[in-house]
Amino acid sequence: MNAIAVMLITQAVHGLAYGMLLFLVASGFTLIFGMMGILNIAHASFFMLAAYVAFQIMAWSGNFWLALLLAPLAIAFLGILMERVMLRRIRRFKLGKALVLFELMLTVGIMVCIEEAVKNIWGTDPQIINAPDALRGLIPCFGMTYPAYRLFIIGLACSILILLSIVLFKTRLGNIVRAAVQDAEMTVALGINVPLVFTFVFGLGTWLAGVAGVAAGPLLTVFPGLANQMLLDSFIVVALGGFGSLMGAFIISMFLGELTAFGVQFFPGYSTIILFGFMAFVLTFRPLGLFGERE
Amino acid sequence: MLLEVKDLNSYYGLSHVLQGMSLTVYSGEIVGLLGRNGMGKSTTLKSIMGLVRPKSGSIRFQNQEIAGHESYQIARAGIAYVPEERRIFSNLTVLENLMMGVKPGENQYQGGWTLAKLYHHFPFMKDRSAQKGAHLSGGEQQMLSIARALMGNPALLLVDEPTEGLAPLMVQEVRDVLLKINKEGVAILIVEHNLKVALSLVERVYLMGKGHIGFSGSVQELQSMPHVQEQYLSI
Amino acid sequence: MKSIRAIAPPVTCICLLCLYIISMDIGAARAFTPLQADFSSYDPEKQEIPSGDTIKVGLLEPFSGQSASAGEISNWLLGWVVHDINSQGGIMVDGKMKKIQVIKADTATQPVVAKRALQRLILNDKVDFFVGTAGSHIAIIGNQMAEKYQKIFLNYSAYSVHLMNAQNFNRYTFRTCSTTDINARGLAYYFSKTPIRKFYILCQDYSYGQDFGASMKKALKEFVPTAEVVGEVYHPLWLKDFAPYLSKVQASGAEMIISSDWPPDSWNLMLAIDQMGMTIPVAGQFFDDPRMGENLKNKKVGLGNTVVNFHLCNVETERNSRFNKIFHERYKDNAKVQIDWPTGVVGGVIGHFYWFFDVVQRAGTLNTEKIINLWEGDTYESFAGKLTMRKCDHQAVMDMFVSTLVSPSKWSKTGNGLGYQEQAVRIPADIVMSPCPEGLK
Repeated sequence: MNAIAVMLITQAVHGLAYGMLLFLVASGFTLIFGMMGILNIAHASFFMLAAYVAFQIMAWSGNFWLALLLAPLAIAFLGILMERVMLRRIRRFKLGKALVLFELMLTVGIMVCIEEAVKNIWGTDPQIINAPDALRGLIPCFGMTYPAYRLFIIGLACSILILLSIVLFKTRLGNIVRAAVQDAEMTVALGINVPLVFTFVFGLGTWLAGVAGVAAGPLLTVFPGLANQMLLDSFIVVALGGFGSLMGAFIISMFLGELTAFGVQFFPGYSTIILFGFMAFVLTFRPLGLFGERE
Repeated sequence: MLLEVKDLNSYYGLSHVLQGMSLTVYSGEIVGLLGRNGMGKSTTLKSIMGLVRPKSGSIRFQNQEIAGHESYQIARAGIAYVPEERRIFSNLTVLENLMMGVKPGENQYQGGWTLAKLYHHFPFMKDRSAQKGAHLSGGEQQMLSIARALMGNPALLLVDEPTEGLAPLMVQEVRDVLLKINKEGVAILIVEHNLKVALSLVERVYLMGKGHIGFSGSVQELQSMPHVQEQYLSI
Repeated sequence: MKSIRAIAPPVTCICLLCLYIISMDIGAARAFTPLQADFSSYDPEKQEIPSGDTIKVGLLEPFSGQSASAGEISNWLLGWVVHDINSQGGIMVDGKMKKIQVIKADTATQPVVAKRALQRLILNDKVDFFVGTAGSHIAIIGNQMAEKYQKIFLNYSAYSVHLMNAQNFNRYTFRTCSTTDINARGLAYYFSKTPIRKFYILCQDYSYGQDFGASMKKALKEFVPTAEVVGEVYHPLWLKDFAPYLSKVQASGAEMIISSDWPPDSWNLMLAIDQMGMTIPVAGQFFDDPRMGENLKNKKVGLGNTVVNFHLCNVETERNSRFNKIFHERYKDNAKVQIDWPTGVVGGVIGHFYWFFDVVQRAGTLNTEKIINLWEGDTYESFAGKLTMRKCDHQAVMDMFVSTLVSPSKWSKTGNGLGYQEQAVRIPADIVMSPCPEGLK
């Protein structure tokens, strides 16, 4: 294979790996916003917290798979707790239009709490999560070699994507979620226990962020600023893709991943300008995002 | 008595929309709720449905107090809602929209409204069951909204402005559908702007003043009192 | 009489001895000497706060946000010196023994926050001087406020050359750390003695990284005319994915990456090199973290990493050996600090703090003007060698040190992992220092 083809494929796979990771975080972010109208600023903090919890589980057991299984569940549990104990309560007060603001403040508060808690428990030093040995080598594929762990991330995210699509598009639960994303009030008026669905979606969203957090662990060092990095990117994805649009989140995640990878290759220094310029352009003409349908 | 609303007070923020609202619906009848814009007709339906939480007053449905209950509980008790502007799920297919109306629980097909029966009443839905709701015309969307409500086999249907924005032929069709449904034993409380349509449909009417009932009586009684019509209806 | 005469010599002797001991005691109380304290009890998180009349030092660092760890490290190093001096009684200033009190101010690495925090330090806490700070864009605010309020500002960790040029210099600000320019010249000079010629510049995309990249190109031209910069890319701070950059590096045929990155970027770069199956070494200031080695799967990764610094623990001087030994005793079994030897800037910055307090001690006063006058041109024997405060731009003049990483290394955490070569290469000050900037008054 010639050098240019190798370069193009390599960069495309790099972009895919990061795009997939981003999609895992952004999908939960967009589902929660679409359904409940809550811009959960703490979403990326759950992503970071999952990485720390995984780090801790690794420190105790040394088993990455155990961390990948347990840490997202623990995070989902926290997410459900946050929804049931705090967000649900705040909705009971008749706050009218100010509700959005109060919810935003609440999630910002939780974000800060998580960041500070992480600092107090694990310190400010970067920590490292090691991938299991089986995933640490290089795998030859299509006549070139590729880091096993990145392929694993792509595979993991793809499986989750497929599972998620089946649940969302082929089951009654999925129909209910999609209906509630579009019009929660109408859905509840049809006799569906939407508050319970909210809890489910919140749990699912934080679980996805948790999976992404653990998966990102061996790729990045874990440090208290990790959440901020992810927050901006996932926010861009959700705003560009359209609030509540899973399809939009997927496409923009991939686009952002590839833009970053190829931007480094062809126009370093300009990929940020292109990205934000594109965002400004899209939001000017389609304030609801490329795939957004709902106000 | 199917539904009894008594001294209902509801607010939107600080504005006192329902001010001691009372009305009654008996089993199997069609009742019209008429009045000018901004009197609180839609809010009355939303309050019954639990979408607006009433501050005080009572709503009894089949002899059970439902005021303050969660909306989905009220729906499960046997009230269905056909909202203004149809609000069908444009992302979902026609079939998926219909299935959203199915209520969880055992006595699902109690009233006999099944998919087959609805397809019989609305043949276009069968042909276009795999299409997205967004691709239907306004009239078709209205039919879908009504059919979706029927999937839950309600004892009472709350219908809000079903003919708004529809072509005359379609208005006629909606009217016929509502009459057919009523013949199957479903009571209907309808908010309707078009007086002619309303009077041809309902047996009794309530006219709303600011947040409360100003007149109630049969269609004949209303027609014999032009000053009442003048007071509550004309613009 | 006879008996008196008989006992006179021993009595005199005893009296003299007493006097000598007393005077020694007074002497010891008057002047601190570095590394006298018992450090086994030293914990930066449980520092004793002296009460009463104290010397107040403001510590301007990020304690929140992404760079919070930089602040914690500075607090640890300053605390070390303060612990040492306070346990020796403090410093004699203006006729009174005073202990040192550190007051932390959080910059969050944001100029607006830093300015407010600094104002509070000066106006409310009434600090005698302040020290800092991570980030040249924050240090510049330190410069401005030092001049405005006429307080001495010791900058031990902002490296941008521009901080002490004609435009930004003021007589209240002193810099003890090196600069991007000095670091680059040290590295380039070192490379001139090696066969490595193909370099890839991969730095963070902000002033510090840009400065370092520019300095590096200039220095390579001067010291290694045959060197080739085969690529130059600036990546966003706190980069999430190094892979696309490394694929580009790989294609360029570079033998060495030159990078200004600091943690977590420096760590992520090394992890990514490992994951991509590459072994290319990296040169810079922060590619020597001993914790790194344990987390790299391919044991060849990190070998040949080249570190340049104004201090390294493998510099063989008597003072440095003593400091290393004390530090090693304190931290070899400490899980929290995770390092065994004072790697990186640790010993250097501790030395700078000792220097500053020594200047204060010799000035014998907190009077700003007197301290400035004494410090300008002052020379101090620190752990790794002589430091001189250049009068023209208040930039410390120092030898630089370069080390490559080898394995096994006695300086690694396990004693046989990745770490510094046995002994650092000393590059004399007159090679690395650039002349005084033009246009200074």
